Amino acid sequence: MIVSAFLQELRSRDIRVWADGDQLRCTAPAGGLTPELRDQLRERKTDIVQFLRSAQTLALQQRAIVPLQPQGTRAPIFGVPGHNGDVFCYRFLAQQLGDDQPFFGLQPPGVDGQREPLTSIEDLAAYFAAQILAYRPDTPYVITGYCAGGTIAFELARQLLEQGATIHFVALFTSPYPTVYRPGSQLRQRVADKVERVNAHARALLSRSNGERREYIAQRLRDWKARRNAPPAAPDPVEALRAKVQAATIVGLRRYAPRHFDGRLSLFLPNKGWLHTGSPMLRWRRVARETEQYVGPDSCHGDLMLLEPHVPVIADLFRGGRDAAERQLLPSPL
Amino acid sequence: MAMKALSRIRDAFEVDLPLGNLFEHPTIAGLAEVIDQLAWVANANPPASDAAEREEFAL
Repeated sequence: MIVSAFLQELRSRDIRVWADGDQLRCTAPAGGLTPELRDQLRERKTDIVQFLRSAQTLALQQRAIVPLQPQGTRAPIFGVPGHNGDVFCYRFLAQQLGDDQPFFGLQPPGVDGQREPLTSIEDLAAYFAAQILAYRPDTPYVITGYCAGGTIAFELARQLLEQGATIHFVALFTSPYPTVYRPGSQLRQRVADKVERVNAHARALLSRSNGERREYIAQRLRDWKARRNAPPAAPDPVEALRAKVQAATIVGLRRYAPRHFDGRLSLFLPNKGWLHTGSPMLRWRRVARETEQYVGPDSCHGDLMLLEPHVPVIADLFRGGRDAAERQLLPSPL
Repeated sequence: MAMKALSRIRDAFEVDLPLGNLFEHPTIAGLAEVIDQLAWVANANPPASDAAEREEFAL
């Protein structure tokens, strides 16, 4: 009989066991612990104590922390995912950074369907900070944020710094300043997207002959009708949970006002098109003591930044920034 | 895929298995052990009989 089944058998007889250091203790109704059961407990003591200790450790584990690449000796990276809470957005970057770079994703409450999502950036950051400090109390950290998760990463780094933690590097990947998520900005963005689509169609029509234009319009109409008549996709419970987390995070982003961060922020922009004045990714410069920019290749767009084929380039930029930041933090030679 | 697997494990075994455990215990045997341990913790409840009528042992 395996340990769990044996313990279940004891429980059904109202016999309770627990580990107390190396000792196995138990309490039973008077006369309930028969000599046979006592012999079995003695024989299996080591396995039972180990089972109970592991169970206790699991009960207290930091459930937000997902070890994407747990090996290595460098300061661990804790990565906040985008607003849907999908930590796998970092899987290729974790692979690219190699075996000596521990990389942990931070999963917000709600993605697992066991808890309600949080609607405050400060609360999300505090939840992650507590989990990180419990999981790795004594180490310097690297904090990253992807897309909307950049705002949570910013607040997380700020809170960790306030609590006396050492942070080697804070990297925000394609992360706009949170005012972008306010309704006015969202509306402006939607209008800009529509205008860009109209312009793209106009350019396409202008570059074609009359006959080709008719075919182009007919094809767009066929595509539109196909989309409209397509049967609705079967509901996906995982996507439904992510959508709920996404909605809660957007509520938090709209309310959040970043406070001063007394450290350096490293901003990773998809391409140099984002370097213009007024770029929502550069507005972080207002609230950090120091910032620096890293820019991806021209063909890289925000959604693709941490995916192939761009992720090797982004990983190289990240390594360069991380290593330079770590060298600066080393004590200077006498 | 991992999230779907996790969701089905939760439904089948009625345990609150965190995503991180899938990575820490990537074999079926390892995961089965974790599920057993989580189920043990989840079903913990106080003894049914009165404390005065119970005996305590240390091994």
